[in-house]
Amino acid sequence: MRVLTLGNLGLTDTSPLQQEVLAELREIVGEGNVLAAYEELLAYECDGFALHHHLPGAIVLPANREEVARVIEVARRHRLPIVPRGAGTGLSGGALPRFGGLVLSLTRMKSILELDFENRQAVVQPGVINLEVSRAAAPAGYYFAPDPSSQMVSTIGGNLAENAGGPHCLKYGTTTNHVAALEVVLPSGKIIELGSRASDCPGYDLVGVFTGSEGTLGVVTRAVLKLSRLPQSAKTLLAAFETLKDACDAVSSIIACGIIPAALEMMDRRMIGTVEAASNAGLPTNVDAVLIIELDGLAAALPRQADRVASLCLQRGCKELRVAKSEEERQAIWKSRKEAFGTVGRMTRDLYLHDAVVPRNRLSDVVSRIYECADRAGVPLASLAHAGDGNLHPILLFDTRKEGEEERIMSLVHEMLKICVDAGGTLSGEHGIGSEKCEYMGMLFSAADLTAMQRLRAAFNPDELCNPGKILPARFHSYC
Amino acid sequence: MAATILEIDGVDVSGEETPESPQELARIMKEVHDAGKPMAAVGSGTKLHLGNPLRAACVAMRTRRLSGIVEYEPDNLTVSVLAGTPLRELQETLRAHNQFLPLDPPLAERATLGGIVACNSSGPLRFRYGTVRDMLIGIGIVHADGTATKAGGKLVKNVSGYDMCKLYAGSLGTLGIFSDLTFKVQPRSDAVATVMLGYASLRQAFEATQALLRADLAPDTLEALSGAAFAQLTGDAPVAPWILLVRFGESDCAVRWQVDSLRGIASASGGTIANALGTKESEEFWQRAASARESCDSDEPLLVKCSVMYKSAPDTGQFMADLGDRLQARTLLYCHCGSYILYGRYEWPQGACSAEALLREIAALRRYCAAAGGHAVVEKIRSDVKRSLDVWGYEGQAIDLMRRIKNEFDPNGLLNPGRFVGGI
Repeated sequence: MRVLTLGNLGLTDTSPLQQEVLAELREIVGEGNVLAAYEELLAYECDGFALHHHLPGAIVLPANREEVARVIEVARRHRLPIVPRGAGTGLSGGALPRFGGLVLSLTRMKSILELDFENRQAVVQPGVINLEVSRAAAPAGYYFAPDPSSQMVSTIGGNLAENAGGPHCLKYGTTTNHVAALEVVLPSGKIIELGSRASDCPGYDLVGVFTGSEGTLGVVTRAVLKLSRLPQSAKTLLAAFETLKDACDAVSSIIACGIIPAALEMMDRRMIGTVEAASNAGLPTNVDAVLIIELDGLAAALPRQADRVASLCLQRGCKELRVAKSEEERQAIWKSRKEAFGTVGRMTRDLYLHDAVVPRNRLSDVVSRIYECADRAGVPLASLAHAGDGNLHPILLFDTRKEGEEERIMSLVHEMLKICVDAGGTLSGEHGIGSEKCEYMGMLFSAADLTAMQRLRAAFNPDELCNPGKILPARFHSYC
Repeated sequence: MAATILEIDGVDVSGEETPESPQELARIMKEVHDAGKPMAAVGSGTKLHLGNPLRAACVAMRTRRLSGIVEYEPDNLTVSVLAGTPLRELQETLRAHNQFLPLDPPLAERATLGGIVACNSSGPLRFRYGTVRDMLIGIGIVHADGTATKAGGKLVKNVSGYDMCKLYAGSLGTLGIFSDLTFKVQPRSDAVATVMLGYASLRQAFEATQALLRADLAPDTLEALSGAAFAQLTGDAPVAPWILLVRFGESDCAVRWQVDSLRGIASASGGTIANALGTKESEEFWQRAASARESCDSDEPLLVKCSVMYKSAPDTGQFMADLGDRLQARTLLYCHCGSYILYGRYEWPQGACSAEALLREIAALRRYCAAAGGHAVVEKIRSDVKRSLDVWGYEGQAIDLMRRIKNEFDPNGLLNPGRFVGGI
């Protein structure tokens, strides 16, 4: 795949790290836990956002917080950027080593340290995979609510860094709503505890600001997560619509009538076709849109809610409505949805995945304008959306081998973001700004707004040692 | 509320400003800043007792004219208000669309949203809906030098940049003064019911809460009040040493199912049903109940907030009761059984308690809570005693970081100087 770069990324070549530095790192984490061969570095040159890439100087895999702190100490001394990384599934270049330096892979720190059901908390290391927390808690009737589609592989550290969402955050909130305390190593090398396991830690909400900070404020080495009680019951409905507009209107009317489903997802015709070809989940392929609507909670409450949702869908022109009759059928529908993004590769050589969010009462208008915009440009679009949140994932499909294609696509990306922002929306709902959307931040925020963010960063990370060149536009970075 | 404010928690104010718009707030703050004067935001003044004493006389920046709903979009479940808007007024507007903001801090009939967010005030509903940090999605703030910034938006999901809303919520006016706030709101439940259960001990009440959660009940609130606190709230004689108040909000039949299930759990856990309230009665009851810990009838009470872990919560309650006995105080205890926060209110109807004894007992309580994995905040105390302690009692490792943040945003220390943790 050819690499698309935004105008002023300022990528530079990385020279191999000096032997002396590598020796120091090996001393700390052990011989096998420093990777510096070219072919090893290649695997870390990008994350799930493959349009930007840059080689790191070395990969370091620490086993505990002391090693993390000592590695950071080495990085400080040699003025090497540190880029924390989990499973590398991020979709905005958050784990991209823009200026080389050390990629700090936390995947060896993968223990669930404690499950405390009385306090509804799990204490985990950053390399623990999201789904493993829920699996471990399930026998006692609990789970970790954030469910990004990457949850089979993505790590808690990455989820924290990106403030990961997922289909069910419509009802249950994103990662930030499910964290009690964090142990972090600051860019100064100091290990400190933010927040507390007991409620309402006095002082600024540092757990709140650290979550979603994309690895720019330090490195999480332990997290106290809040567990939720598994819902007593769930009902999943599949509603098919002849037009996207009808589906969007149905979403808006469900939200407006006071029902907050656990999840409310939308797929367009092209997406449905690919997903169905890959999964055989029984999605209707002859319509322009389907909604996957999940209601959960008390069994006694669900039938009435389901009736209301069904009648709202029918009022909005729903052509086919199916309620999953068994747990297997329900799981099959969700499996198809969670794997949807993975199937896009069947349709295209290159892609660009949007993550904008718009107010739920503007969905229909914004979605139609986005499609018009793609149609005008002649660029095919496939679309997924966490529609209940207003979080849209239109995917532009293209081939960068075509002359002038990257400029055309990037200008289309910009145009679509502008449509969302003008409708009161935002750039990213769950993937983060990373290296990808830094330069778009000015569409949303004034220089003063961004300066406030820069001040927050400066309190934690004054020299931009940690994950430099992320979130804020170039002029707010000392590295750029 | 309209009266001029003369002092903030025992410290005279040096002036008063009442801006009428975010622009005027910014202009006045710049002037005050340029004159080198410290300033403190004041909403309706329901929480002026919170925090350490001011280090200097401040210009009181009143937000009472900075009031009103800016934009309400019922079909997006979001609402934006000016910071001085009273919560009550907002709830009335939302109610017309069968929605509400699930915040029930004390004195909600007067408290402003700016004050509630600055103090991170919460009440029993936090069990189901969380706290300010879980519902504040956008903010306009004016920093010390008069620079206005915004963060977040009107979106329920947003990771565009640092989550500044989290930084400002609960920052007690030390990083800026809010001009406007945007919240996600919730649909109101079709039906509400409250069941009151009498228990012989706090431990039994706690065990009952675990049992009802294991049985898949999903209450709005799980509150336990000591017999005396309950009696004071209801005007009735104490019916049991501890009363567990469980509120359910759902569809009719889901509420009924939960109330019925709870009856079974109650008898199995040694509880006796003292009372049960329907939808309308519940709402009236909880309005009073949420304010109970701060509706004081004595002049100089002590109000402490202890947060601990589950296992230690019942013993912490006992420690707090014993502390009252040692101080010869009338003791009222209010416990969020879902988040393990215990409020103790101590009153001395006849005569005062010695400062020395108060300080000694607070220190003992803090040691106790620290050993129980938590902390104790002194929310209200006589001003002479307040000068001898840090009311926040934050012993954590992040204090330097918090100071650096304060210094980045307010390098001259002009905003609410001294009131926050560690004298920030």
